[in-house]
Amino acid sequence: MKRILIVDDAATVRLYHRNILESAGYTVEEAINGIEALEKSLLKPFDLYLVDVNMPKLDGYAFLQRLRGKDMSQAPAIMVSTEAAPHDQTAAYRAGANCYLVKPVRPEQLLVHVQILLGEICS
Amino acid sequence: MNPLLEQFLSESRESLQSIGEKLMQLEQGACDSGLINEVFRLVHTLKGNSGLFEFPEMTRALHAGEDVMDAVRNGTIPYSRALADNLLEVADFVGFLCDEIESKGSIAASHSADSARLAAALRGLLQSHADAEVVCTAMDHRPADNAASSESAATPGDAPATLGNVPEVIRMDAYRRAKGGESLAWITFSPQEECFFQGDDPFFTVRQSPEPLWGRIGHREPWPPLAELNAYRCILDFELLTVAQPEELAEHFRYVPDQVTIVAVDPLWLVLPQGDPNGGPVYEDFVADALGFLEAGDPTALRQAAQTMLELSNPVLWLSSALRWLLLLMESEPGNRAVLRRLIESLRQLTPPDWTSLEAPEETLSAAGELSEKGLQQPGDTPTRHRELSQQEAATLAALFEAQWEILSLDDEPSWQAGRLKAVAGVLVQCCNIDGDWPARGAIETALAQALSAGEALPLLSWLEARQSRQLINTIARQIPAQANATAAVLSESKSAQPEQPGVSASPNGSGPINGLSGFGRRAEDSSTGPIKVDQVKIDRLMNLIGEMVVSKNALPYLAQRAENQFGVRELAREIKAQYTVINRIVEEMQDAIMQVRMRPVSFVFQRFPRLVRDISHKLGKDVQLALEGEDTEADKNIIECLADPLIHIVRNSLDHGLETPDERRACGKAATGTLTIRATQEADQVLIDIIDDGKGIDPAIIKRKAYEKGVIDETTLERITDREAINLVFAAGFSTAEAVSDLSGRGVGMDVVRAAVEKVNGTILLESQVGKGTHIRIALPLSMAVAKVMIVESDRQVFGVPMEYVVETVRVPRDAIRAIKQNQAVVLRGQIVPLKALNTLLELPAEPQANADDELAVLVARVGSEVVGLVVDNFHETVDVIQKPLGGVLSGLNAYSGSALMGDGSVLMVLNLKEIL
Repeated sequence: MKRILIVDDAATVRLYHRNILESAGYTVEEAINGIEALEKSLLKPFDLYLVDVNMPKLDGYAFLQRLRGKDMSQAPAIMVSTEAAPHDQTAAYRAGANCYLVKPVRPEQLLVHVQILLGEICS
Repeated sequence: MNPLLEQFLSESRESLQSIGEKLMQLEQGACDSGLINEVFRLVHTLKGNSGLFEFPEMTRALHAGEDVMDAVRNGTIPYSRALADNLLEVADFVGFLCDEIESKGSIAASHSADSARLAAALRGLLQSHADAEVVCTAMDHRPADNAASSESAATPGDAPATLGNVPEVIRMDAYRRAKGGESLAWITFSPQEECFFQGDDPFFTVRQSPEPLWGRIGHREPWPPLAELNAYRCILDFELLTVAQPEELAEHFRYVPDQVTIVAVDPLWLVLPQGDPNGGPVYEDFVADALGFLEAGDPTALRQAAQTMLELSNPVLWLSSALRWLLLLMESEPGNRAVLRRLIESLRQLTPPDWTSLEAPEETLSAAGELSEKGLQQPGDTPTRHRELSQQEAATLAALFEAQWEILSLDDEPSWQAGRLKAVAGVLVQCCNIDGDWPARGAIETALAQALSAGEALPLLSWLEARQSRQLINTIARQIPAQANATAAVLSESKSAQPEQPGVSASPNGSGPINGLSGFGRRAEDSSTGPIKVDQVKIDRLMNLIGEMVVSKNALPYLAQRAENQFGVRELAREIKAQYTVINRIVEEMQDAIMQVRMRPVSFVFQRFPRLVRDISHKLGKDVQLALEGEDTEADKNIIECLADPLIHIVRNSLDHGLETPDERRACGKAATGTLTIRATQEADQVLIDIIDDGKGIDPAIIKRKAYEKGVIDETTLERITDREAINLVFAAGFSTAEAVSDLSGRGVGMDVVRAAVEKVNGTILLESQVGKGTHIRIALPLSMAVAKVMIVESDRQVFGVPMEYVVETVRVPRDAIRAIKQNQAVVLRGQIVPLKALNTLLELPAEPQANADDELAVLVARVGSEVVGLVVDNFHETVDVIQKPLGGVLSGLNAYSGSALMGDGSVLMVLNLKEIL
């Protein structure tokens, strides 16, 4: 069973994403900021990260930089943000995200991305 | 027209066709949830597509259709014939809109009403079946003002209840502007709950609405606790007071007319005194004085009294508010005593004056009068969105490839570069796997290793770019020869890019040429193997070329013969022959392959029949079951297309004249439901189409009489003719048996036109009928028109071609076996009398048929129509494939020949037209 970490400070968003992912059969864990996310990743790396941008303490960019920098995980990371501006997307890519989605993320949109990134679709 | 729109139109037509078919199937079979889902999906997709363009009329009707199908799908309402009728009507309407878009580029606004009517009809179905309780709760959730304005349609004159929420200053301003001649409108807008997912921005819509004076956002149900809040569900309601023109508003809210109520505001509605009652009405003295001044016609005194009272009172009091309004009213309409009196009197109870009994009823401006629809939408019902996953997946995949490309193209080298590269490589492996490109993994890992050791992304980037350009070229290459030039251009471009790609030394901007090819992200999507559309002309050209190839390859055996006989090089002759067999095989396969391209299944024509039969039989009050068989039988596109009109005509005839009404059928002891079978089968080189009905059949006696009356046959024929021949007289020109000209089949077009159409493509048509049992029409068509097989026969030292479809057999008949019957000659073949005709005689060649050494004559038995005739010739030769060309110029008058064909040795073969010469 693939494990996914949702990193977001907003409970609503976490719940929303959790519902979508759990309904598709993934194991979901949550972190409310980058620090907590790093701690959880240290214990056991995840198969995919779903990361918000703006969070207290350690934001999404910084979290991804450390995740990639410490070579803790090479798992794909999806960055989720409310900003559709191109420079935000570039910043996400720069930090180490593999994919950038703008909220609200439609359930099937999210699932397709997750399924492709986890290699669960066969052509 | 832009390509996107073109794509949309063609896709829409396909979807509509498919919807029609599926509905037909549903009507015949039991409730098949798969089919229902399919219809839902089609309608949904269609609606979604139409939303991409500015076709609100189309979207609205389809949206209603989608909701209905969704309800059917969920079992909320049953599938019914009425529902199918409505949906079919919507499909027709949308088809009609598609035509209009194609011809004019847009939809006339006048269709809005039709669209609304269709949508309302569908929603009516939804309503009538909906669970009453659900509707009630749904209604409760609607804001009070909506309920008020909905009711107001029935009882005109009520002001929206929430108008009082507008601050007095703004109301006063609005009032003044209204008195200044501007029109006031009160808008309530309740967006659909799932509107965010449809890309709607209701807030923006409201903000952008023309000339707003005041607006308010409310929620239509209590906010749930934060943990349960679904932020993506819109439960907002908007209210807006505006001075825009009704037309402007209708235009602005044109996409959501069913969610918006626009009410023209009577300025008096704004006169709503508000404020602190200050313990109750204690203004009797003032009211009495004021009324006194009013009756006395002394506005100055009234104004003074009001002003004094206002100065004395706290401005937050109800009284002050009323006085302010009083002063304003006196200013704007001093003569309107009734209004002033009512306002003054309202001070007695401190309740806002009731203006309704004074004024003309309000007018509802909602664009297409869709107020009645309002209550039908159930906010709690969020339909599950079903999307074409494969499409979305492809798009996502492409986007992911592009994202990785962008990441690799970043020009920074942060400390976490290594981890980033590894993650990208991982994603690329997954994406390639999904794309079916398993071997890519190795290449990616190599590139990653290089990239990690070099500390830069370039090796991976080069690999990715090379892959993407390969994909692009493959995609384009598939469209050769359609875009031969384009391919050449791209290939040369990629060649120039080639040297840069493998080298690590290449500059980071080595992506230049690739970047130049815009639409990077769509390549993976484009490369999917699907059907491609090719212009018919191009296929025709291929067809002509292969035709010439077939003929010119036939020159090789002649060449071999010459090599052997004339030049005496037997070795070479043998090699040429060997080579010929190879080329022959390839050419045959090639010809077959090209023919395959032109082949279409007959379902192409059949698909329209369920609807046709349904509509016609309904119209005629007949109960008919249509059975389609062998729909996947294939034949040449041209032939299939030629088949369409004759078939429709035959089917109409069968329904109109053949099949009886249920009562008639019961009277004859038949099942009330008639059966019409259309069957396609392939037999050798022919496609057989059978149209069989179990109706009353054709009475040969009536046909004979009619034919005689119309002068189609003379008296001697009348006596001599067999029943079988008689019924085939319906194919004679100028024959129509309908007792009364009906609006269905009596269009002045007879079966002779059908026969002509079939014969035009070298087909034959045959009719059999039994009175009381039914009619069976068989159309036999060649598989392909382009290459014909002909048998070469020799007569009087000349060769002629006979199309193989006429040839039954070739026999050698001893001269003494030939019997003379009157002036004619005949021979008995396997118990059947076959009349003989000499080809020389028919072509007026002055020679006798030559017999062979055993005194046997060569007889080619041919079938023309239903007759079998023996053609006496001198000798038989081989059969060949030829491209038959019609005779042109002065030769075009030669009826004896259907055309000419070029032989491998360069000679010309005349192909006989047996129908004419026999």
